[in-house]
Amino acid sequence: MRPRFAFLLLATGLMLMAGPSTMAVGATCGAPESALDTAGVLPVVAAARRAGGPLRVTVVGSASTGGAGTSGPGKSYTAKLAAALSRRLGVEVAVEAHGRRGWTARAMAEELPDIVAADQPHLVIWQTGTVDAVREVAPEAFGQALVQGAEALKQGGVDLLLMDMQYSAIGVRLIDYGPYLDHMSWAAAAFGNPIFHRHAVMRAWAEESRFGDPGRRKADQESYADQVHACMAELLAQVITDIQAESAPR
Amino acid sequence: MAKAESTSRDLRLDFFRGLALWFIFLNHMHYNVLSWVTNRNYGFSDATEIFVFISGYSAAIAYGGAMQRQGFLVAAARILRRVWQIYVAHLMLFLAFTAEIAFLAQRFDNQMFVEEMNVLTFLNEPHVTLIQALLLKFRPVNMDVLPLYIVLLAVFPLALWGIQRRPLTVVAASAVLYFAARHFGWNLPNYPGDAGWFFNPFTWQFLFVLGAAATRLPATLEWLQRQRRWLTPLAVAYLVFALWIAFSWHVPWFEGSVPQWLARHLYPVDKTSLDPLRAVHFLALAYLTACWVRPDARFLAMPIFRPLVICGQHSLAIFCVGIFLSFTGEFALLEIDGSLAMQVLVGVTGIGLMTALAAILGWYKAAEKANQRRPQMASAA
Repeated sequence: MRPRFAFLLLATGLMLMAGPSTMAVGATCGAPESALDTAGVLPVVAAARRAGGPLRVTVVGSASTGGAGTSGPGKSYTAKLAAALSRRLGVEVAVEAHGRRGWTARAMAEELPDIVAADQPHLVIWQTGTVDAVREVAPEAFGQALVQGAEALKQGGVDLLLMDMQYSAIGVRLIDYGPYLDHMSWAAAAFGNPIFHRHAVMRAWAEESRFGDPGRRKADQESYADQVHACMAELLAQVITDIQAESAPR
Repeated sequence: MAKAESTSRDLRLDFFRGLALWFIFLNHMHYNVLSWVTNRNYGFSDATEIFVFISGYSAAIAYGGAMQRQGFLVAAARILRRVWQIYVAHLMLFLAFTAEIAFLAQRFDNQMFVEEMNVLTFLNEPHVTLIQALLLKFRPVNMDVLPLYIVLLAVFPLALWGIQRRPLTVVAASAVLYFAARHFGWNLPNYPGDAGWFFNPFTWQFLFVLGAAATRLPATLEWLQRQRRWLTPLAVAYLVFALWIAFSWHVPWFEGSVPQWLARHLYPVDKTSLDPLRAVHFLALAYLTACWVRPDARFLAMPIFRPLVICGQHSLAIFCVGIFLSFTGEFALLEIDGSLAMQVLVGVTGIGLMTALAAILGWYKAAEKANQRRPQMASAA
């Protein structure tokens, strides 16, 4: 849980002291390498790329996956992901987004088979954890839902990339994400799935107020959200590209 | 947490409880860089296990004498008075926390965090929330240890009565309850959600009872000491194993070093129901500590460790103040500046304030004692 970030912070601090840190994806969207690092493989994506595409990606998540807070439908990270990924992989990419407010991990896990049957994706990006932490769903049950979903995807021959919660300074004051973050990393370790550490990335951004203060005006908040989502798409694409490059195709 | 009165006080209890209190303070701040020094990063168990075990041990010392001299009822009354004090302390902390949250809530109004904002609904329905808080069902982030302690202490009179007669039987019963609660999923109810208590009293009681029973089992402890030839390497090996696993969670370098088959066997390492991996990790740690740190170890009396010892001697007050300071510290990090230097400053200031308060409490207690003695001397003259 938190210690990971304490460590990241320490690492970031040391890197800053040591000189220019290893930032990825240019100055605007960069994040500490330690926040992007993840174990796990994406063999199906690697195979689809080798076959010349097209690559089909399905994103399942809660409100942020639905683009909540952005200025319009084209501004969410899911809307920007196809172009960013296609640019890097050199194949055609299609992204289907299923973002529903209040969608718990359990409910998502139950619907995953139907969604996969309809979309026929090579890769599922499963964004989860926030709703469960807010509603105080039993962490054990949350973990079981993750395992259920991961198992189904593995058997169906679909790659899975988990994506954790957004970060906000007030949010972590009010919500205990710790146990849910733990369960996500455990489920990932048990099935060899990579994790996109959105929480750590957004925390690093908040630390250095990368995009300024969202403020209280709706227009400012929306432009803030637009920037965060745009960068999230870039980083996601980068992480997916890196992982599949190291995965033996299946 | 209970006050242990004894002339030959075991300073190890105060020292390690003080350490646990400092760790709990640091761990309760999200992302304070100083929390990196706490033991939770280096194995399965954390400061909570230390705190609960030592609290059981010192509660048995504090109330055991009264139960033998004055009987069950008087001792039970004293324990329940303590329960009431802790309940009041918990409600004070709840009030402080709610005041801070109500203040912050007005700024947490951004559609980007529409899911997260749902956590504030409790402010809109005080008629429900306040009652749930009084019933200890609604406990905001990081306010879970005191409710656990309240429940453990509330049933402690019966446990202590048993421990004074048949300590091993009570330990066995406690272990049965521990495994049964894990197996059947027994826990006290929570609000909102179905998570149950973050520290499940039916499982965490095991460490508390073990600590209390240890005061009555000197022969067993000595026997364990004599087995160090094979127990020590075993405990060390287990701690190293736990260190590796914990590093795979926290240190990017080690991420992915745990093979999938092992991960499937190990995980989840559940804190709520005190996963056996955690309990064994604490016991291994406690065993090695007991073997290597004798009650007369010289460093315990060194002035540099005095702050730890005095914090451990006033643990209820220092625990509550630590929680309160972690709220305040987080607030400062949020409102003023969250930089690395500020995190260190907040951590060090908090520990300084905890120590200062402990010193004042110690001084006050000593002054009270001296005052109680004086009138008697006057009447004798």
